[in-house]
Amino acid sequence: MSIVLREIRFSYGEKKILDRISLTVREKEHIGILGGSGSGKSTLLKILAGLYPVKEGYCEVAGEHAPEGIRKRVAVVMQTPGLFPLSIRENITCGHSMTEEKVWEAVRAAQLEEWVRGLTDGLDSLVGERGGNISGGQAQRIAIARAIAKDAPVVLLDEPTSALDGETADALLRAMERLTEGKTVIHVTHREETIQNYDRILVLKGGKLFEKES
Amino acid sequence: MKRIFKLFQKRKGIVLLTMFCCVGSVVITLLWNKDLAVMIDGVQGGMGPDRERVAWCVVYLILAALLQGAMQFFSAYAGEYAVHDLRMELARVTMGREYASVAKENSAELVSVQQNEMEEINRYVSDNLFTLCTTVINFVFTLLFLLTQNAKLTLLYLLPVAGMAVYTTLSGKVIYRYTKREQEQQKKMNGVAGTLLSLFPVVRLYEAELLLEERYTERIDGWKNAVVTQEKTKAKLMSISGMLSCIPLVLLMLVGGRMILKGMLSIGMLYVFINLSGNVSGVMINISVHLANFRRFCGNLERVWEGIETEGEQEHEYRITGDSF
Repeated sequence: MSIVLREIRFSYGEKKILDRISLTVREKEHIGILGGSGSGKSTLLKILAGLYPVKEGYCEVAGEHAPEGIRKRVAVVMQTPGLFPLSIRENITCGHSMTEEKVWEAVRAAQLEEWVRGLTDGLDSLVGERGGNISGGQAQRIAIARAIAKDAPVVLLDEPTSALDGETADALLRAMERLTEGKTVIHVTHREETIQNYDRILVLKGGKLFEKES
Repeated sequence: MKRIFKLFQKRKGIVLLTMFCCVGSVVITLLWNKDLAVMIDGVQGGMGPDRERVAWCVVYLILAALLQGAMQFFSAYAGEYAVHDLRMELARVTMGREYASVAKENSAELVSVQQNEMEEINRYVSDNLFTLCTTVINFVFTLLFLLTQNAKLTLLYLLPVAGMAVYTTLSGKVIYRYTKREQEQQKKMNGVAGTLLSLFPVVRLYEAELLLEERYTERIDGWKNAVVTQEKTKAKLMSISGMLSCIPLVLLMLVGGRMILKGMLSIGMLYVFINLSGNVSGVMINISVHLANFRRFCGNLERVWEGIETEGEQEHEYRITGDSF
């Protein structure tokens, strides 16, 4: 199994967010989780990403259950791209040693090649403060390229298209196909159309996880 | 200067009152010094000071003290209100900004403007600005007074000071350049700290700690070097200023002493010259310090006003130029 969640409970102070969540995901399975605002889907994703420690219940991702281990085994694309005000290259490699070919491969897979080649400084172009020098779509695609370059067995997506317009979101979904190919994927969203081709769709409501009725 | 007038625009009345108290206190101090010279000469001539003159001196001293107190009170009041007005204006503009323009900002830099620069403006207005005004008024009135008492002695002891003033002005410019550089480095360092906090989850997930640490260390080193260079230069330039500051007193003693021997000056008046010389030569020699502090204040004020005035002119175009941290 790629992901195993057992009786996970999570609360912010007195406010209960997740209530006895259990989930088993097979390797390379694509799971979509639907939920409205405040339903706890981002919290669930942060637990799966090893950003929040599990206090009650059991969480195993790609054979790891310690948060530090889990973080090494997942690639995450969030709602906001979270770019460093550095170059495109540094945003993709995050300071790790990586061959030029591997960086370009990630750029190509994220459908950024044409744009990057058109820039005067290419991969060394600066993205600016909070990606202020580039568009929202380009910023999110750099975030995808970063996730592709990490080459983790589990990909977690937290509404990566929510801040983009329809056309840009479609282009981004195409770029994400390469990222999710052959990986275990958990995609949390409130828009069902983005996950309609997934193997399973679950619904997070009132802190509990249900199978979606077809 | 335009910015400073704008800062005090709403508080003109109280600023004028402060200035009035300042001028009054300076004029009274000069009158008291003139009487003091007469009394010293009287004692020197074997006559004791007459009662009426002593009574006037007491009145002068009481009046000067009262005016000094009133000036302190009004200047503190005017300063607090002016800074409060500025803070409120900045808060009003910040609250009214569109989300799109705020989202592109670095929170650490915004906080820096609202806390550090505002704090420095507040401190400068409260502690230095009116003191500087008093110093300038004191300088002008004392210089005019000394010129009317003995123009030759005044000019003789002040001429070399004019040369020193040129030195201090130039050194003030150098200090300002280094101060500006240090502020820029500090701004960059705050930017990295802000990024580190806002992108903490990404840093953990992609193990970018080393990359950020490297950048932060670079910025800290940049800032540290800027501070060290600034402080070293400031210390060097100011210690030379300190050494030069002895020259006017030496000149006063030499030229004034010679004039007394020739019967061109009384001992009382030389005493008054020595007593008041600091008000003129001190200002001229320390002009670099006043200028550096004043320019730093103007720099801070400029940054805060820029924040207020550029509202609505935020650029939303995306471009590959700009600066990174």
